[in-house]
Amino acid sequence: MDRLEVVIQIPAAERPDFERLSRELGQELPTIESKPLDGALVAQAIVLIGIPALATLRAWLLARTAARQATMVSWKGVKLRGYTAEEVDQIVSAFNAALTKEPSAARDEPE
Amino acid sequence: MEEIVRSFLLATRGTAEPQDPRLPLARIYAEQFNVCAAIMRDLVAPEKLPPVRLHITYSQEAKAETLRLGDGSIVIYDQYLGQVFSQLNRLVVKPTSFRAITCYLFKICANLSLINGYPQEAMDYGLMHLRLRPQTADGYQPWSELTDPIGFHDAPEPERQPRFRFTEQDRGAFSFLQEAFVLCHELAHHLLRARSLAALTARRRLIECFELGRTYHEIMREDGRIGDPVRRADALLSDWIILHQRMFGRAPTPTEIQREVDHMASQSDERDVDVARLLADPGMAEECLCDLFAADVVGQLARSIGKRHGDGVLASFMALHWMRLIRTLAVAAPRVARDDAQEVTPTDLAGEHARLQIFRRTAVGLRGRGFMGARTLLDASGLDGGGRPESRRLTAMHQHLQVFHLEMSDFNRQYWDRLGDYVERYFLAAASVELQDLRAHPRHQSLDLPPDQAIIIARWACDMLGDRSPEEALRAYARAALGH
Repeated sequence: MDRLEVVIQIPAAERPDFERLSRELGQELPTIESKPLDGALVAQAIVLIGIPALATLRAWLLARTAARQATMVSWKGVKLRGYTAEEVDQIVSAFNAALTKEPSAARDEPE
Repeated sequence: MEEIVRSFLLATRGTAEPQDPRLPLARIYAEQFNVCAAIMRDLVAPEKLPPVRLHITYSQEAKAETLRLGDGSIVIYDQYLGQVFSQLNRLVVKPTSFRAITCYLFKICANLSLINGYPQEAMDYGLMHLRLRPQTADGYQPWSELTDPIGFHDAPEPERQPRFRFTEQDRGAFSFLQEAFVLCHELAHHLLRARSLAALTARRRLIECFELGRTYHEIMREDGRIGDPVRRADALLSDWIILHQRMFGRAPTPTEIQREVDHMASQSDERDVDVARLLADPGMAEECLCDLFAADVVGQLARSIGKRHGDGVLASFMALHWMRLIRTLAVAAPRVARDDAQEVTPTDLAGEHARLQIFRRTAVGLRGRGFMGARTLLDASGLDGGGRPESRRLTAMHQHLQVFHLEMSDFNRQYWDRLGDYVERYFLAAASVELQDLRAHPRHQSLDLPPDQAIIIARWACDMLGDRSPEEALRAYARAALGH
């Protein structure tokens, strides 16, 4: 798979952060504001992620964790939070796995 | 715009489609949305509305949300929310064992963990759900070798007259009205934002209904006609004694009763909502206005299906209860799963709790023909004249309105009897112990999976894969890991 279509969600008040990500990735990021019935207003950007973009994305996510800002990423209905450095690494390795191999469902059965 | 919304839904929900486009359900939602929108447009601003569209999906995201993109708005409604409402309605109208309730609560926790980005926790809650299920949709027999995860007595509910007059036969209608409430609430935000004289008038009339309801509540409370604290405490204590007997198979000891009395005393202060302070927050005031607006439209919709206007308002009140319950579980699920001892506090639920309480106190202002119809009973009562009506008039008004007030109280009591107290007092504590037990099991070690696969296991355990899943191999893997 060449690129993943990913949605990144942050609080609406932090929307300028998407402009920084857009510059760093060299990509226009279509952005939607969304408000669930029982929740706060959030901003969500659609981002195309390929292997070369992973390092940039990781740095951007880590900068947000350093500022104690919460981020959520979604792709194909899978959602992951990036609030700690460990969670950011989980996100990046999940993207890396999805980009470098076919879905790994066909595992060997455990003994 | 269509392409962007589709990309957004595929990434966040894994699908952009309704449950089954061949079924008439999606069309029914669209028709219902148009009916609600037509009622609201007539009330608010017939011509000058910015466009709003509805998009139906079916995923684990049991919620409605409004997307804003440029000048346009799209209401996304997930059909799964209707299923959740329907199941919660069932748990309240029909006596159900705590085991069955626990089974369903684990499913909700799995679902909430999925949509809030906690895949491993979602898998574990899913497996807990699986342990309690008789059988999954694909015929899989659950993980039966583990001990019964419900370590309490679980005696049947004692025979008594149901407090709430709605039964299983009304469940479909009530679920329908609750879904309509959610759609109307989203539309209400949109419509009240319109810059038209009609929208401003609607806003002013809603605020009047609010004030009427509040004044009624305060006068009746001062008069001792509603909310008598001693009677309320007695009722709560006797309900708790029954719950205790069901849970532990014995009557509580005097020490346990005293502890409960102390607990209730500490709770009542925290739960008492300062309506005026909350409504000073413009965001909260807007939410409450939209709740009231939506409830009135649902009241009108209720008439079209052979129910009363008040049934629509009551269904809306129930929907607010469900949203508060879902929020409780959303806050608690990750904490319980991570063995975080922090309890869910009233502060965590401030928004949902406030909306529920404010609705209860103010919806009575809709009684009559709704907020934009003819003068309501409260309008006619003279309450809006600023002074306190004379006693005879007050009594007459109370006789008209207490039925409405009592219906909400009846639902409240049945809800706390059958579900609410169990969730808040026992389920969350038991879930923490059960999850530790599950994770200590040797077979659980083989389920140390990457997030995307943990999610598939969670969905499989909760029967949320549907026909779309190509993940047969992983499903087989999970079965093998669990010893079947």
